[in-house]
Amino acid sequence: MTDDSPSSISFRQTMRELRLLSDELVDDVIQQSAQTGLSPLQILVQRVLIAPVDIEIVDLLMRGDEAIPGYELTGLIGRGGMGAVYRALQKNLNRFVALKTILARQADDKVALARFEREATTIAQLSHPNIVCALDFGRHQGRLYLAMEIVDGEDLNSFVARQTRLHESTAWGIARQIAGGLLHASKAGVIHRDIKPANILLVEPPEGYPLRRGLPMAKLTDFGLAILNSQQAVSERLTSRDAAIGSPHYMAPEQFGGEEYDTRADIYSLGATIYHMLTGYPPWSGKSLQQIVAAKLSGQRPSLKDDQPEWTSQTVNLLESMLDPHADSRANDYGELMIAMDAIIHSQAALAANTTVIRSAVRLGQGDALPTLMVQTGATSTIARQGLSATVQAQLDDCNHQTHESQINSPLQTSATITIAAPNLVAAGEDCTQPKHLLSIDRVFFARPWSWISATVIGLVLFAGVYAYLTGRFAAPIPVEATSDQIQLFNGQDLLSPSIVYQVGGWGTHDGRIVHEEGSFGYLTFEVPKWEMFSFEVNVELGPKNHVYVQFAHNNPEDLGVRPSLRLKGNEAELGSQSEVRGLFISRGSRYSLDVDRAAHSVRIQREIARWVVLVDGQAIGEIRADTRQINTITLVAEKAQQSTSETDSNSVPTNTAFADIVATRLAVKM
Amino acid sequence: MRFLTMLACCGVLLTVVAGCSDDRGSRSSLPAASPTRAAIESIGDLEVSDETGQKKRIMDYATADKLVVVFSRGFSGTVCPFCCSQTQSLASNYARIKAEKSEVLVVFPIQDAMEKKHSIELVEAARIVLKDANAELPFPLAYDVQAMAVDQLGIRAALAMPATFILDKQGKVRFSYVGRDPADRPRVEAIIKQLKSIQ
Repeated sequence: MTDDSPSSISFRQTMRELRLLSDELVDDVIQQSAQTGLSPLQILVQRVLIAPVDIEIVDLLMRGDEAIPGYELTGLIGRGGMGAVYRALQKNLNRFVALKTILARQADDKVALARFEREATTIAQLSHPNIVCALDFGRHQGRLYLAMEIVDGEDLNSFVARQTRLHESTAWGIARQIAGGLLHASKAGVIHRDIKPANILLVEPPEGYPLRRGLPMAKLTDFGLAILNSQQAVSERLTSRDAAIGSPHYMAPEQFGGEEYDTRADIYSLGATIYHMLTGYPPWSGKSLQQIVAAKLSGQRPSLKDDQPEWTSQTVNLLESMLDPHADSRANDYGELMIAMDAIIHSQAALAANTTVIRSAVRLGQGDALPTLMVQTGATSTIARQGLSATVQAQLDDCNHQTHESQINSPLQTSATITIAAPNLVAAGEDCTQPKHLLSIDRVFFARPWSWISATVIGLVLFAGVYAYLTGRFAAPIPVEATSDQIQLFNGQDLLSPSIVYQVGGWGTHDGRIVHEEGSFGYLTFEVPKWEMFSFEVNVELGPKNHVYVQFAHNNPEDLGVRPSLRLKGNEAELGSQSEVRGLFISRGSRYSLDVDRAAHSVRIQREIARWVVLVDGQAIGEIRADTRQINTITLVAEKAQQSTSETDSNSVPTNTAFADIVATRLAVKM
Repeated sequence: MRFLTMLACCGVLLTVVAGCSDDRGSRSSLPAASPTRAAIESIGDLEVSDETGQKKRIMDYATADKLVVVFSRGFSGTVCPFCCSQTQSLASNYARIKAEKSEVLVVFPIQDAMEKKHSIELVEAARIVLKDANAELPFPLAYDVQAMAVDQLGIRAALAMPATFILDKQGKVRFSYVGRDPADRPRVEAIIKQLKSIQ
């Protein structure tokens, strides 16, 4: 390739647009390419000048006209962990689109493929002005692509960074639009699961669009982690390997624990996003990932009142509600949330206009002294402080002027009705019937006797279920003993042992052991015979800078969701869970100090009738209730924290993490 | 009335609390996923095709004490640059591998016969480091038609996952490296280190 050949020019132009290397280095690569005959991409690979994913992006952009049929890639919009988004010309319609493709490294990952397809099919179901819409979806040469509406604007993250922080009215105005989009998504049964500023795009509103002046139009994007909230999808949600995914600063606490969760997780993330807009940084900024997880799981929430005295009490109250660590204490749905948001937006607008109320009527009447379902919000608390019981009728102009009513507490047992015009309109299509659940419980119960009869029956059934669960859960374990049925899962020589059903990463055999050799990560999945009860034993030689995880109660390591995991790290063994084979380790608090002088640690995972028991060096460190499925696979994961110095010596015997004496024994009830 | 309301709410609450207990990860209702690797006796018995289309066992290529079997990813509109680089690296270090009484076999998975021609990209990549425009690969190249060996080894993805195996004289797998992504491959130095350690 000469310096002025078309491919040189294309390479130089692509590299310049991507700003991956300095111009001097790009010229150097082109020159070396001309001298050696290697393509510039080969030079990039050999000299490790840019990351593998960037090489792929350069490659695709250089083949811009042929990479995806019907499209011409003209530039890179952005890339994430899963895919890259290109600006592309859709040739037959002569329009630009945002073309998202899955990265090649993810194209070999069936879970990633499933996520990508899920995003495409999810967006295709949605049609809302505050959600980026899908235009096309397909696969070419093994590569999935999704064409979406192109949004010429900037993401909220950049917008906030540029503005330092946003005024309350702007923040709530943006959040209100996203809540509208999420309401629409939730009606289609979709939970987004990754609400954060980077996934909210801001654009100039189209002509005539009813947004207050100066407020950008917000569009929600990246449904790659979205799931269906339907009953049919529950099993998928529980077992997808991304059970604890998202962006830790914005994730709801329940997303970390592998629990079931619903739209209230998105409400939490939206609250965290509002916090970011108002402060200029995400909640728990500056904390480590472990600290964030620990804070959220221990029920903490970011400090609002003390640190942000300038915020109005309405904002503090609603944010506190949205960021409540307990999902049950958050707003139940978007209808309720949007009413509260509108109340704040209205107050802000009124304040700005130096008027008390733009369009309201207060109707005093008889109170009925009834408790309510509505959480404390800015609107409610403000009114309560005035000593009135009130019914807020939030009139959403784009909802055919239907009226919502909600009861709120009052110390004086009187009532007021305030009609609030939503100053920050959202698009048509939102369900104005959503907030009807805000009617007080007692009114419903007295008016509809079948309601409380049903509730009583449900309550009793639930109590019966809980009782059965608890009594089963705490039943005394049945004593077990080993039988003579024992099988070696590794013969000490051949890595193609039939018991090793799945392996990733580099593994060698030395002195009858399996040694984790190269790279930073690898795993081996062993299959135990279909015994009802068994023990899996392995001796672990823990490399000095290695972590080992023994994952169990799980089948295919790549496919499934949250699984119990024993971690050996340094001088500590700890029982916890991971959401995927390489997922974040969440401790259960069961720890055991390892004797660092031992050359190897014996690990035994024992599957009994109703539980899994975990023993390290003969000490039981915890147990986990077993489900009824027969799961007979155990995955050994080795992760290298740092490169071992022994790797640099090509003649030395590896001293990394090794596994030996891997056996399974059938257990039987002790007679 | 309020008692009944409380009763129902408490029931729901307790159920939620109970559901959040330590077994949360094991309540899946999906059927168990089956392991991906087929039960095979020996990797050496897997069949591949040579340039002429003749079927051979992988072990037929074991003309030395040890055999390094490298599965490339095949063709996906282009032959991936990491496969080309790995082939170059094996070609330029081939003498060192031979010195360890070892042979190399590169396997190129193909879905149909039309894809076979794209393996020339690997050859051309090697020619560059061998500084010979007409050179052939110094080691054999075989084709895994319809990626059957890939499937039996459980390394199928959209294409094959890049994988390297070292077989000893008996055909036992003494080293295995299955990459998690296209760039994840063992360095030649690591392969030579393994070859040295295998008696």
